Amino acid sequence: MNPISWFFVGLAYFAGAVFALGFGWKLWSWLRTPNPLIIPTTPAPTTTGGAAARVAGEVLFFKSLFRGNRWTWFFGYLMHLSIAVALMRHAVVPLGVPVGGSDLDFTALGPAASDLIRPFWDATFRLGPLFPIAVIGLLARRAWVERTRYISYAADYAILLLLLGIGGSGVLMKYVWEPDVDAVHHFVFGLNPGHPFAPAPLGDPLFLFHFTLVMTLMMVFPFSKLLHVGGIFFSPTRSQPDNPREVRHVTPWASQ
Amino acid sequence: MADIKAPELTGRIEVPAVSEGASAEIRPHVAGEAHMTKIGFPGKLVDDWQERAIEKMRDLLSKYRSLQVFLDICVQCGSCTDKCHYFLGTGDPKNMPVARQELLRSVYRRYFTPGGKYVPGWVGARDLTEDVLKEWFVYFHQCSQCRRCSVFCPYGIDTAEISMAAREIMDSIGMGQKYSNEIIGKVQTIGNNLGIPDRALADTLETLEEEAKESTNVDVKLPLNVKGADVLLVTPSADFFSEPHVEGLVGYAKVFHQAGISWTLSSYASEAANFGLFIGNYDNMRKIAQRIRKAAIDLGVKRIVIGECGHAWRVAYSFLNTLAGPWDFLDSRYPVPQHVCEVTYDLINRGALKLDPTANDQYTVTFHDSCNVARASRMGDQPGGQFEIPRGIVKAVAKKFVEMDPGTTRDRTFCCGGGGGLLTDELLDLRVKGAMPRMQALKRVMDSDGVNYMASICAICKAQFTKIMPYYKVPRETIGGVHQLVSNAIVLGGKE
Repeated sequence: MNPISWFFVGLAYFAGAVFALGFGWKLWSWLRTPNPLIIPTTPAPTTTGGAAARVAGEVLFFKSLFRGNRWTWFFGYLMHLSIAVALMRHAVVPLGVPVGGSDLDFTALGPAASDLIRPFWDATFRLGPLFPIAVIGLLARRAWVERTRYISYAADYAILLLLLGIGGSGVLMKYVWEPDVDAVHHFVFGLNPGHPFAPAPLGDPLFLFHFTLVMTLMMVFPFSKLLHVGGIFFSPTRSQPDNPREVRHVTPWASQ
Repeated sequence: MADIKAPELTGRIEVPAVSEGASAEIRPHVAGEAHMTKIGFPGKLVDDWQERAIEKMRDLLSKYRSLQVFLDICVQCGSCTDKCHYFLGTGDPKNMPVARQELLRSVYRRYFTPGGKYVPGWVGARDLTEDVLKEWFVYFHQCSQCRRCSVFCPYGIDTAEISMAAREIMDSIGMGQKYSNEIIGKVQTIGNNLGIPDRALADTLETLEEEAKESTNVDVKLPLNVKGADVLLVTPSADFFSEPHVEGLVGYAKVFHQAGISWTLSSYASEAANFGLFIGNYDNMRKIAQRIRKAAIDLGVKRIVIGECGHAWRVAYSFLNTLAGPWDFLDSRYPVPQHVCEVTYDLINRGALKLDPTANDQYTVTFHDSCNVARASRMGDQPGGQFEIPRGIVKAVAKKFVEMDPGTTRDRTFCCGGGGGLLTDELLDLRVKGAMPRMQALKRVMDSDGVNYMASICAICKAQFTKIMPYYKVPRETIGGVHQLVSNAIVLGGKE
């Protein structure tokens, strides 16, 4: 192991710790802070199950954004969908499937389920390029529309550029400059606790670029607007059921 | 005031170009010492206001999850930017909901987040300077807390919560708004926002009884402080004196009369409005709400019914149980509290009221959803009952009913432009401009369908439209209450 490999190993652990501790602290901070009053944006579901379904509608379909702005919804949805697909494809690496490959075995789930999942799984294989396209769409909209340009800070562009760098390098690796997949796997597996550390694939600068940006994103996450990923589940206007006449809502500080 | 000009009525709502500082000079009067100290705030701006403001922010962040989450998670997506009536009316970019939030969020970042501490320029973090404070005072009093932006936010971020917090911080350092704080003082000493003493209230009600007797030949009563009545009616005090509000009050009285429900008003709780909400101050809001509890206990009533008032209904429906409950001493067969529209609608459905809709034949009616009713409450058992129940009443008492553009009704309704503690003369320019979206939608149905009556169930909407409609060359009589129509159509006397 050369010093540069140790740097990347160290970066991974540092970024992982910043992400876990920072995000964990935020979640805890939201969780311990009470909602003294019932404030769902109405009309709202009257039951807890209904409120959960409402939040699910926001998380899975961005329903409110759809009502608010179709272009932002379209590019935003595309971006999040392609992130979800990318995360899914990266997540199966431990099963022995390379990120770009499609040779995952679903037969263990039974033939019917396997036939159903197979085509979708194979299709995700081709969705990669949509990610940078979606990010470019969002960037263009942010800079183009006078109102969003007015509300944008350097940080808003920086995060989109970070995502563009991650997505762009990912697509390039898949279609243009394929890295040494074995070396990459070896290195990434070595990051798992319990595995021996493996050298970083120094011959694949594009991979190292991709990897470094992902680590940066993880470190920025707890201190940026990326917190919306967790925060949406804590937003009282969406997650509270509308039942104040039926159930008396009391929090300690507000009942003295 | 002569220089106030209303936007042209074209029937269309157009998103304006950004015009920096367009409404920067519109600001409310600062509350004087007497109005501040009376309701528990420092009389004037304290010397160490900056530290105290940050401390207050820290305190609120620990008390309200909404504030913390909303300040943390906005992604500046821009979905809200063209949704606020004050932005649409003024073009001032600081009236875009996200930009309004940013006035507070930028300070939050500076003092509470690592990014704001170390790279303030990158993330849009600002020191709390005197200029920032002045900007807060201007733009957090250009928000009517109508929650329209929240509807379209992917995370439900509600600018109302942010502006309430900002006003609370400003009050805590001695920089309050005169209009709201003076009114809160009045309701806490006299019992209502208008400062009507008991005797004057009793006289007014007597006069109204006499007028009702003259016009209907029936003894419609408006009882005050009657112990043992079944229903305590708590209504905005504007209903006692203002036009067209008072017509609605007579309407409630006729409904109770005809249904044979024993009811009373209370001079102690002669106000449904609760401006404690507007300034985001929990203690004041609770104290005002507790007056209703005391009146209910003292008078020994079995039910509480709230009159036509938007934010009052929010406080009553959503918060009364928390602020002044539990209500286990009241009749459990009825929700606590009930909206007067729920009562009337129920009576209509049971056939308990005889109605003659031809009495409203001179009107083609549309319905203006008031923001706090639409987006912060419910009526009846089902979500959306707050839309269906008042419309159900209107359709039962008037034959010609027309909806406005669906992009401007129900949960997408536009504020009248005078809510949230902005119904004061020095903000008239803003109020006229903020009414633009609603006035455009109204104009369209006036032209296409001959609408000449816009029914509303909010005292602030009624007062605001009465004042601003003439600027748009629309007759002020176009605005009225739902129970004003009920009052016209209800047939008093024996049932056939």
